Amino acid sequence: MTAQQVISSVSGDDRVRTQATKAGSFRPTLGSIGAIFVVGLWLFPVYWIGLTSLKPIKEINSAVPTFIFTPTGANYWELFTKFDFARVLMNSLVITIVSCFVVIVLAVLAAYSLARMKVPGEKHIALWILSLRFLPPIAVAIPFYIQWQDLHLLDTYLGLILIYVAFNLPFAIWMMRGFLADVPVALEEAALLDGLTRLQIIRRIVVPVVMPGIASTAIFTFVFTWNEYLMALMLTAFKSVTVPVTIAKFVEPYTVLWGQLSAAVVIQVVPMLIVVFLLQRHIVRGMTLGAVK
Amino acid sequence: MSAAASLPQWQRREKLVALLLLGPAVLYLLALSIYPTIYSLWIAFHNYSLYRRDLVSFSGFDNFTDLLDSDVFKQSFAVTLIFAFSAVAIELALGFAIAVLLDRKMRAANVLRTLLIIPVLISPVAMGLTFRYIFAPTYGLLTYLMKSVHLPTADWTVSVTWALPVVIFADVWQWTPFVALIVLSGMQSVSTEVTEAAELDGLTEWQKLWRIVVPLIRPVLLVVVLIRLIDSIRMFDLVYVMTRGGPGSTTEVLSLFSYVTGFASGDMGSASAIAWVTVILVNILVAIFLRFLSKTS
Repeated sequence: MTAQQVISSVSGDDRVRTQATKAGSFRPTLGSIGAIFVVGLWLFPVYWIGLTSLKPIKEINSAVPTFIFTPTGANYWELFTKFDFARVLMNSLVITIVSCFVVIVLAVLAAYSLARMKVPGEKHIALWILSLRFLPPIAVAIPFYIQWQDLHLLDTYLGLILIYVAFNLPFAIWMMRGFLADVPVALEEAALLDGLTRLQIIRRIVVPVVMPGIASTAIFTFVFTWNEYLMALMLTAFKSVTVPVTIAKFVEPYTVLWGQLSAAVVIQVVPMLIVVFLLQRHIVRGMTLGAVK
Repeated sequence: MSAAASLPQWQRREKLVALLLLGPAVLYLLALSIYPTIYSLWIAFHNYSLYRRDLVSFSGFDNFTDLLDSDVFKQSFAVTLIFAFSAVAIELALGFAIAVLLDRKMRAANVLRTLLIIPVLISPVAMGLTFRYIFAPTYGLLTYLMKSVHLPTADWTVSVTWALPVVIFADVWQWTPFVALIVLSGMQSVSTEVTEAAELDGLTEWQKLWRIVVPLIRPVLLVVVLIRLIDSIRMFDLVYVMTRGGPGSTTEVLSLFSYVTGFASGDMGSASAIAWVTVILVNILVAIFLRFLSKTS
């Protein structure tokens, strides 16, 4: 049995349970309170770092943690005035958005070919692509460093974008293939009979229909690229340094600039929060490589 | 032109179009994933110093046999496995419990599920540093809590005993929600008929969970464990920002060991050999899990 069959068998049962577990009248209440408590507890570190970003230095380094204080924007102000954070933010945005765009274009074309057309050895190609998702980044980090040095791509946008596209492509193709398989072929068949070419069909018919799938694939590419650390650490020095690398730099040998650090963390997290609330429905499916619908 | 003659031609064109659509992605991956991986294997079989690239020479299996003699490598290998297996075991247990807790009819269920995605989307760098602040010796929240209930405290991230558990703790915190959400969506795909039939048979909630739901969602559990194990074995950023592999090399996972060997000492040959150990580990895991998965169905 192939992994592909396994993964599709996982999603085999589409009947969603409409009714949650029935229980006595007392237990659900207790359970609900438990659920709320657990989720609250889990988000506490996030809340704590957000709170820290608004604290003056005296409160940050106080041995007794404070919850009530006069909030200050000083940490954010310093982040942008002393640490040139606007430039770093711009670097991360450009690298992430360009990578997402290239990944989506390549992935939609490849996934369409795999999902809809007869490709020799299609299943093997699909599995080979999926297996690349599991390649440890450290294995390719050293060759990239050496090659980028020779090609003068160290510390450039292009150097990182090329790698991020390669890292995200396998996952994106796999996900898009799943989304495309869910789209009924009838529309496309009619269009084929009308004499539209495959590219026209993709652009005019398929892309509008699988837009939610494209959006959630783009989100995963965005999150991965936005958060990536190892490659950015190794391959950038100054010009194209990204947000995660900058955040880690607030840790100095003898002191940590927690105020600026937490402000930078908050700024890094905000785009993710927007993403979650816009597209929460599609996220769980993406996390499992489409294993769960 | 007759229909019989035009059909093969149309098919041939379709095949060409299919390859043209797939081609760019496949060529891209060959050039930027497969080629570097093979290049890395080539480096692993050479004496390759970052600073003397004019003196690269073939060294056979030396880089690999040297690793087997190295205590640091053995420790790093052990640390990686301890980290990956204990983190994933805890994540599975807690994630499963949270999924059971959230699998109920309640108004807030959707909101809670959405909120639970947040830790998954935060960068491991941010997560690691947040916990470094919470675990900090004088002003850390945990230190304060421990002191206020008169428990002994430590300089957690630089303690030989505590550094690894602390890193595991942070990883568990970040990824338990991921496991919970996937297990939950697996539970919700179990059909109502099955669970209702179980109720008619007089099974208790507990029996229903273990005898009916768990066997049905076994493939989901296996997939989530596989994804988490692979990602933990490749792990770099969380450890790097929390402990830099220290104290000594008590938290130096393989990715970190490879990074330090390659960039601090410039020994690219050994660094690539270490990286390839992770590649092999990941492949073994995938093979074992595929075997398991095929048995379940």
